Amino acid sequence: MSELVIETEGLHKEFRTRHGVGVAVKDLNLAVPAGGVHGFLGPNGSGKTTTIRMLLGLARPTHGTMRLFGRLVPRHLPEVLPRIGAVVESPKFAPNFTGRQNLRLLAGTIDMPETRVDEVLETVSLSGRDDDRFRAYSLGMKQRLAIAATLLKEPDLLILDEPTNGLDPSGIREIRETIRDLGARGVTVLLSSHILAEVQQVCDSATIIGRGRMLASGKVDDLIGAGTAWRVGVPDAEAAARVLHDHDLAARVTDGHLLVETDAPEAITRALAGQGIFLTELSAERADLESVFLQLTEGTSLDDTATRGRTGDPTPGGEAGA
Amino acid sequence: MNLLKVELTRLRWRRAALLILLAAVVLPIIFIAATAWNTRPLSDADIADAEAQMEASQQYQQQDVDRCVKHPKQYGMEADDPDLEQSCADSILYEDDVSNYLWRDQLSTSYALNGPGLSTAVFMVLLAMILGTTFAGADWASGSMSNQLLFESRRTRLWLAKAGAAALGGMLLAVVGSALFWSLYAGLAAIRDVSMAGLAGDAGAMALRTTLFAGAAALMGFAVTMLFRSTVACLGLLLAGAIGGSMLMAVLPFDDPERWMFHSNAAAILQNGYEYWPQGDYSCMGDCSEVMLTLSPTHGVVYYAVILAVVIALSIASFRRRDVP
Repeated sequence: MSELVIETEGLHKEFRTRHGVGVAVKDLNLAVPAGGVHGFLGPNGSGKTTTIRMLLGLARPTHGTMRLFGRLVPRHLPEVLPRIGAVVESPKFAPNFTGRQNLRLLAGTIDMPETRVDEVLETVSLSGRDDDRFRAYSLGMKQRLAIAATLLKEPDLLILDEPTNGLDPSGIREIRETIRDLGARGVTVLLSSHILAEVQQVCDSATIIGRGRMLASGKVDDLIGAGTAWRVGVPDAEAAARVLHDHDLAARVTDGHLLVETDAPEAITRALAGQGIFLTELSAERADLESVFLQLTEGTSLDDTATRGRTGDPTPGGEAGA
Repeated sequence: MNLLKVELTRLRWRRAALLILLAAVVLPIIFIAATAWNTRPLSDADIADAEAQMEASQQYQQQDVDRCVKHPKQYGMEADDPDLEQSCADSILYEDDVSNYLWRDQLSTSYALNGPGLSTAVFMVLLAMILGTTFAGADWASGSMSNQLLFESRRTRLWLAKAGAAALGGMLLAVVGSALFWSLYAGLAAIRDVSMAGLAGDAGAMALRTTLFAGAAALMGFAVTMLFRSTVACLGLLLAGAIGGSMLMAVLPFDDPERWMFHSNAAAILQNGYEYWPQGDYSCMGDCSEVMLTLSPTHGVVYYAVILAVVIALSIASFRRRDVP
C-alpha cells in the first residue's frame, strides 16, 4: 500500500445550533494515498469543507485523529504546512490590495522571494492583471489567484475546495488541466467538488461522503463499476430475476428491465435460456459517477453486494452505506 | 521578525491606515490654527471695544450708586448715614481697568499642555485605537485570516506579529502627530516672539507619554477586535465602555469612583497626574489644592496595564481555540 498523505481516524465534528448540537462530520476515516488526484465528493452540507478545514487547522475536531504526511495534526501542522497548498471555499484575500500585493504578503510569510510571485502569476495567466485590486477581479480571476497562492509553496499536497466554482467553461478547462498537470508531476491533489463529471474526468480515486459520513471510497473505475452492469430486456422481469438469483447473479428490476452486475454476460443468456426465457435486449449499462453518487447520497438503496463491489481500495473503517 | 515585517507591510498598504495617518497630520494643524486664532494679538479695534464696554459698565455702576442714595435700605444702608453717598460708592464701585475687558488666552507652556497639546494627545490615542481596530477588523471582514493561517498556522505567533505591527503603527502615528503639533506650536511662539521657557522638556515628556499610550491603545483596539472579530463590535464596545464605564463606576459603591474611571486614569497618564474634586462634603476658599485629590501617572499606567493584560490574554486564548471562518 502506498504512503498515505492524508489519514483520518474517527474524525468527528459537532457544532452548536439553536436547537442543540449538530454533527458536521461523523467518525470519518479518510485515506488519501500519495500521488494522483483524489476526489472528495458530497452534496452541499455533507462535511467536505469542514473536514478540509479541520485538516488545515482552521477548525478543531470534537474528537478523532488526523495525519498529514504521517504527522499528527494540528500538533505538527507547522512542520507539514510548507508542503501543503490549499484553497478553502471561496478565495479570500484583502479586497483593496492588488493580486500581486496579496501574493507578496503570503510569499513574505513563508520567506519566498518575489520572483516566485512572478512565476505563479504567470502560471495562472494573471500577469497582465496583477496590479488590479482583488475586488475588481472576476470570480474566475479570483479562483486563479487562489490557485496561484497555493503554488507559492511548491506543494507536495494540494487541497482544492470547489476550485472551479463560478468559472466559465474555458476557465474550468484551464483549472482542470492545471490539476491534471500537477497530479502528473507527482503532486497529490485532494479535489473537493460536487461537480461529478469534473471528478470523473480528473480524479484517479475518490471518496464520497454524505451527512458527515463516508459512503464509499476507492478508485474511480471501481466506484462506478465500469462495464459490469448489463441491461436485460425480458417479457417477465420478476421471474427472470428469480432465475438469475438462483444462478448467483445479482439482478435488480428497474423500469421493467433487469440490471445485472456481472463480467460474464453469457452467463445471463445461458441461465435464462435454460428456463425458457428469451431476451429481447442485452446492452452494457455503463454506470457513471453521478449515478453512483446519487444512489449513495440520496439514500437509494444499494444492496450489500453491489456496495461492496463499489468500495474499492479499502479505507480503514470505510465501509459503505450511510 | 519576518512575520512582523510582513504585518507592517500589510498595515502600510491598508488604505484605512493611511487615512488615519492623514488625520493624525491634519488634526494638529487644525489645533494649531485654532490656537493661533484664540491667542491672536489684541488689535486697536479690540482695545476700543474693551474701552467702550468699560465705560458702559462704569455708567451702570454710577446709576446703581444713585439708586443706592435714593433707596439706601434696599442696599443695606442707613438713611441717616452722613456719608451715605460715599458708603454707596464704596460698596458698589470698584477699581476697573480696560484689561478686564481684554481677556484672551496667551501662548504659554501651561496653556499648550492643558489645552491644545492635551487635545492633540487625546486624539492621537483615539486614532491609534481605531488604527488597531481596523487593522484586525479588515482581516476578519475579508475572510483573509483563514488564508493567512494556511501559510502560518502558529496562531499565537501570528497574533503577536499583527499586534506588534498595530502597536508600532499606533506609536508612529502619535510620534508624527505630536512632533508636528509641538513643532508648529514652537514656530507660532517664535513668530509671536513669545518666550516658551521649559516647553521643550514638558512637550517632549508629554509626546513620549502620548506615544507609549497610543501604542497601548492600538494594541487594545487590536486585541478587542481579534476577540470579537468585528470592527463595528469593537468600536461599539469601546464607545459604550468609555461612556457607560464611567457611569457604572459612579453607581457602584466605591468611596472614590473617579479613581477608577477610564478618563481620569487616561488624563493621569497624559498629563503626568490628574487632580479632581473629592466626593462628599468639603469646603475651601481661594486655593483649594489641599482639598483636591491627585491620581498619579503610575496609578494610570497600572490601571490600563491590568486591563490590557486581561484583554490580551482573552484575545490570544480565543484566537488559539476558536474555529476560523
